[in-house]
Amino acid sequence: MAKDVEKPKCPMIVLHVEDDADIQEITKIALEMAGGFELHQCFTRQEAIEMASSLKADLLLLDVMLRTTSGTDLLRELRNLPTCASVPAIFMTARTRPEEQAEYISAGAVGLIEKPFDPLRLATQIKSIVDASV
Amino acid sequence: MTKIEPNKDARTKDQPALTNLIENAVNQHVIVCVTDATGKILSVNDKFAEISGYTIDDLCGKNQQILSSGLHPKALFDEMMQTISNGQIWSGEIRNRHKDGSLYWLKSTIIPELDKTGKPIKFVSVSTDITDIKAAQEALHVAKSFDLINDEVYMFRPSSFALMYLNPRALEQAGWQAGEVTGKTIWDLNESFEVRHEMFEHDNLKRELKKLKSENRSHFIYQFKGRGAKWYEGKFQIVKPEFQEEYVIVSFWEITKQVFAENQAHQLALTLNHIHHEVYIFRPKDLKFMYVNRAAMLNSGLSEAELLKLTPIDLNPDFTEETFRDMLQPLIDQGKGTLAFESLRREKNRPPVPVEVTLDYINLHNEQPRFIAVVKDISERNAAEREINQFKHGFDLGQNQIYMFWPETLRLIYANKAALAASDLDADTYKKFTTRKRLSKRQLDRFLARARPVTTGEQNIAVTKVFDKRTSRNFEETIQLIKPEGDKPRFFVIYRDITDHVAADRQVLLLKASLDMMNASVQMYRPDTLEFIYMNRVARELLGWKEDEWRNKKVGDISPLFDEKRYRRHIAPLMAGDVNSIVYETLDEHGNPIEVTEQLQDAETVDARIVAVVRDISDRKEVEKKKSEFVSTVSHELRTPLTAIKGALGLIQAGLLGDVPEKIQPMIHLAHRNSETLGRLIDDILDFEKITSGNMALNFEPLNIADFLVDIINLNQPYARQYDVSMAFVGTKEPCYMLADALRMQQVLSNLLSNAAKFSNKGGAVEVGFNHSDGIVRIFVRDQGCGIPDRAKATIFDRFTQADSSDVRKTGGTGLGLSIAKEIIERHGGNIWFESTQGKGTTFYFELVQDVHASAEPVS
Repeated sequence: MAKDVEKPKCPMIVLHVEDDADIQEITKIALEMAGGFELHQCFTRQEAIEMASSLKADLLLLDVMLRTTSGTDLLRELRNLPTCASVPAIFMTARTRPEEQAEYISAGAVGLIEKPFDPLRLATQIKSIVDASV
Repeated sequence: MTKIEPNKDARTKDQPALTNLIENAVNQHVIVCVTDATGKILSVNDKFAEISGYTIDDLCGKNQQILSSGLHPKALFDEMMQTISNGQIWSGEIRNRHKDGSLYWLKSTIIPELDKTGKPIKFVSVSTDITDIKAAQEALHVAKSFDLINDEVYMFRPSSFALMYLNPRALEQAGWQAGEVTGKTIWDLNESFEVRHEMFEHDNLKRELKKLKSENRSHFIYQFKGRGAKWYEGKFQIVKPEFQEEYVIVSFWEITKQVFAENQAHQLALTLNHIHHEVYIFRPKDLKFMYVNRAAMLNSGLSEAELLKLTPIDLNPDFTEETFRDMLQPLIDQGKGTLAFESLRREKNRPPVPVEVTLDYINLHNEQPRFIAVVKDISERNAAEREINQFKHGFDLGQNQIYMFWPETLRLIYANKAALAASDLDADTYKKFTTRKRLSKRQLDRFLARARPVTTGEQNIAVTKVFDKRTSRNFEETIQLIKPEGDKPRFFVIYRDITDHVAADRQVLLLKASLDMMNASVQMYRPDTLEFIYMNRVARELLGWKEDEWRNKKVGDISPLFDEKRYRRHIAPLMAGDVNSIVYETLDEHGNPIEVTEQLQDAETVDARIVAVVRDISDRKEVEKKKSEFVSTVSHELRTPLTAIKGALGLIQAGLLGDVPEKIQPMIHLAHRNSETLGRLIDDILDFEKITSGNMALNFEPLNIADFLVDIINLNQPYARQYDVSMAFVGTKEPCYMLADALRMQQVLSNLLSNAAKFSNKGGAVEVGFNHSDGIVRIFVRDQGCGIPDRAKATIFDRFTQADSSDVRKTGGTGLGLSIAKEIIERHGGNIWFESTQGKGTTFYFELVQDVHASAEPVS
């Protein structure tokens, strides 16, 4: 908890993979307004892998239904990168059936943010999931 | 035997004169009567009066006719009158009648007294009493006749039991000489006999004689076992001569032979009565029955008396008297012989019975000639032949081919019309043919192979299906070896055209084959015993059972977990006729999705069966999954832009992106509110799809109902406040548990609570509570709102239904909430319903099973 107090000075580096530009935009606004986040966004698997390799991310925020792959497959690929081996991951998705949730957990996610999300509560949701996973 | 008794007077009186003396003497002994020429009695002496029973005065002046017995022939008196009228003396024996009616014998001499012309003036008769002599003569005459016969004869006086006479046989038995009889009584006989004779005992004899007299009978006959264990017949006859004392003639004769013969006859009759053949004996003369045995009476249904009035012709309508006599005549001509024939015994209300009749003519010396007819019921013996006969009659009309032939030579004995037609044979010539000639060696070998179980005695009958290439017809061949009693066995072969049956069988086979081709498991079983009737290939394969392994098995044999009681409860609606079929989905033991359809067919008949069709619905599930995925994807695809819209609107509305001109604000609000509704709609569609596709997994856990309700109320309180509606838990918060999925139950209750709030009037109250009884928990949500209109009541739980379409705008519902709630409750094994009065409010209820176990545990 003591860490959390210091956090604002050291923003959480978030790799956001989302193939919908509008959602990217709203996510960006929401997190910027909340503050404490350094958001890196990309649209595709390829971009995500490239970006993740060079980025020391604190959190992976992944859409599930990507054009060329699924979020879970992408996460498995990212886990192979040294930079992402143990980075907490959160899926943002409208697919929230129990078996789907189970799939996310088994893929290595720490939490789920259901779409449509409330932009005003997004930052809080992210933080509470990450805190709970620590 | 005249007894001359000395006159006492004669000895005591003086003798006045010799004449008087003589007269007196004569008077003592002689019976004297003097009549005139007409027969009028002029005088009689005392002796005459004494013997006649009259007084002297009675007699004098009367005609001597008064004494006539009327027993003598008229010729006697004519001869007497002629003699005495001629003045000659007549002598003879006359029987006269005593005054009391009894008779007495006189030996009389009649002396006529003549006038000067020689005519008789008076007749003087001088007689002596010879009654006793006559009686002795009579008895002796009777007795002498017994001397010649072989029977034992005894005579005695019943008054004194003094023996009078024994014939030589009787004397021999008594061991006496003829002279020794005098002075002995009948009782003395028993002293001399080797074996005492019952009837010669004092009491017995007296009793029997008394009985005879009282019954006014003259004799009795009886049988007894006497000397040397021989049988005798005895006859006691009372002889009562008119003029003398009665006596009894006893005669015994041996009847051992007769008794033996009678016994034999009796035994024979008994024997004949015990045999179940009918025996009739009848006279050749009038054909009337003389004897019938018991079987004859039983089988004819007539009594002995009735039968003895009848003739064989009356019993057998096959004969007329003429034909019957024609048949008998040769026997009579030969004087002996036997005749046997078969006939039918016709009885009322019964089918005719085949009988064998044996007729014997018996003509023994000294015996009346007779016929003996023995009627044997040969229905059993003839059963086989009779059956053939039935076949003969039956199948000459029918289509089946019947052949009968000898097993050794295979020569035909019989072939019915159909067989003749099929074999191109002719009724007269077929017997010349042998089966051997008509069949090829191969055919014959095959036939003999089929017949082998019968010829070896392994089987009584061999039934085989054979195909006749020539006619392209199918036949059922039945081979039997018939062994008539006392005759050689023979083959009896029937060919039944079963082409149509085969066709029907083929239909069944095709049907079965089709069922086997089906990808579904089909099981048929009896609803009462749950025994399998049929099972198709898939069903067998699924169970790993061989072809016929299902026979004699029950539904319960499928799985050790099968609970018959539970199963019977399950099929109860089917059995009660409440439903036509039960369809449900479940998983098989491998976890594959299956759909089970159970139907009751031909209920209330012997063929009643449950047909259970189990389909592997993996493919369908796959399709459903695809559909589900499609819906899910579409929803997701809808959600993404919705997320953007909602997010954007939310950010604008929150004023985080700068002030929004006041004129635009209501529109932003409207857009945001509708995006919310769209979001809920998508949520509901997803939920509904989840539930109906069976993808809604329920996580049951015991829920403390009161606590749970209070939590849900608190959750929905903010929503209610929007409508200015209060929400409260009512009732006691006693610990009571139900097993439910908390999340889903929350969904149901939230739906009901939000509905209640939505449809309540401003300032209204919503009450939530529960009660429980008998292990069932009932939860209710009550509002005081507008109520559900009657027209909407029936469809309130249907999809996309709202009481009023205008409500959608007013309340922002999707129309799926209640149908989702209903699905969830039903998935929990419960049921949901409502009571509503328009203008007063609505109460929704749902019931679930109480978790009694958890409820009983102390609250921790």
